[in-house]
Amino acid sequence: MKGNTITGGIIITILLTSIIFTFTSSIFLESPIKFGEDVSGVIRTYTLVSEDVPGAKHINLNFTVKAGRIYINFTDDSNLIYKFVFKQDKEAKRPNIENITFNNGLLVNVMAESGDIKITLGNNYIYNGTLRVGLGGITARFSNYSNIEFFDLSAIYAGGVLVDIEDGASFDNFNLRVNSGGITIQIKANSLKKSSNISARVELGGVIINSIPVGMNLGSRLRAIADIGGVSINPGNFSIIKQTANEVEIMTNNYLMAPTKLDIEIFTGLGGTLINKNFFLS
Amino acid sequence: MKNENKSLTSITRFLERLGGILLEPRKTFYDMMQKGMSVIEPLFLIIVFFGIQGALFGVFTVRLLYSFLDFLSQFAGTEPLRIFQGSFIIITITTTISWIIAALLIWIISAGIAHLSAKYIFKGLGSYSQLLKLYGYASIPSSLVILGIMLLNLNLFIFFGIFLILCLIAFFWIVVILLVAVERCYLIDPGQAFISSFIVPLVVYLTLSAIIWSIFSSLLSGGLFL
Repeated sequence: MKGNTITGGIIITILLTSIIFTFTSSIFLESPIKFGEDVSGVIRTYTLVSEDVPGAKHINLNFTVKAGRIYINFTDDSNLIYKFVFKQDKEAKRPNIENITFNNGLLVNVMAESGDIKITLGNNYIYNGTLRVGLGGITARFSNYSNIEFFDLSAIYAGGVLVDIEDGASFDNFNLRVNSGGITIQIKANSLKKSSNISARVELGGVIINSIPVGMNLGSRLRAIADIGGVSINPGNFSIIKQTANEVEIMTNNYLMAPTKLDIEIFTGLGGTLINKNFFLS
Repeated sequence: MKNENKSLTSITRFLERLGGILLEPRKTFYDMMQKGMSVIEPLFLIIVFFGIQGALFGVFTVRLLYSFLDFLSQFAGTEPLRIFQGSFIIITITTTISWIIAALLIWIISAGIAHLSAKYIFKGLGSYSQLLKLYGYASIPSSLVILGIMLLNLNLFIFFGIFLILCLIAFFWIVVILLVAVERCYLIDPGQAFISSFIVPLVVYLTLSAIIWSIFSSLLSGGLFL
């Protein structure tokens, strides 16, 4: 019975996603076939390095894109504060970027109407960020060069957020929000630099967590709730604390003793959550 | 509060039915036949599933055409080609409507053929209206086709193989649901149900196609000779 409801929820999710996709795909997708070199866009690059803002330690990013895609990654460049590469249509308005310094910090406000934006951040600063797309997607790759207190990533109306967490990533809180669409969290890390929290919320759509990290010094706990729909989980070797049709709570066996802890909270309004499962093999 | 709970329960029951038809079609059809069914729900499912398929196919076609226009604009300039771009919305609307009409026609005709076969060849017990309602639910596996077209829209080259696999799975799933529908509705054995739901309609459609093809080709060749 529960399996039927979850399957039904997945079907409805596919249908609703496809309706949104039908109306929005022409806005944020490129042509399926490209003939020759793509010369349609304009590329604008904005870079800030340590010499430009001496003494800054904390960087606060406040990034809003109405329609488009954001890619975030970190490099080992200790001199780099940020590098933004905007790929926009020729007719699109230039992005509005302002840098405001305060005490030992820097506030970066960015507002863009549309475009694909690649954000590269350095490894010598502590970052906080609120990055929002109205319609589109955010892809973030957190490597061992990342040093984050909190990141708030959201697709305000529709779209997706994909987060890739690698070994040695350092963050306190990730807050992922999607109104209609999906969130995918890929955790490839077996160790994190400090205890961390991930909170994911989708009102309409789904959340996929491909795997839950298990490491010598890393304990993980996950709680997932679906209001209408279901939570599908491959429990593997994890301890199940609670499992009902709409709610699942699990943890790794070493969670209570582990020096570093990862807590994951997931909420789905209408839709489903897949945990520790591959979408196509679920 | 009571109304809210009531609507929540009906949504949950609807989700259960959708999933049940995919995972346990025999039991779900039995339960539905016991409780009685309306034709509205299967009709709604066909319109939604095939409407979305048509719309997605239209969007994909439009984006392909845009690619060609981008290419042509390098030679012809963008201005002359902009005239065509406004008419692209018509393609999506046309594919959506034509998909729905085709699906409705196939629904009615296929149920009719299966009914004739199960009722008069295999002496089954059911009725056409009941089979028509059950047949509407066979559109549910086409959600896989919808997923496939969405993936195809994301990346044509990477997801083409997955699209074909999803279509194949959907096809076999639909055949199974049709078979179970005929078996449940007419209380005949699975072999007879398979013949009624798949083999006989296939033969009829192939024969019809052959007749239409031969008429068109004879008209064409006749026209050419004239």
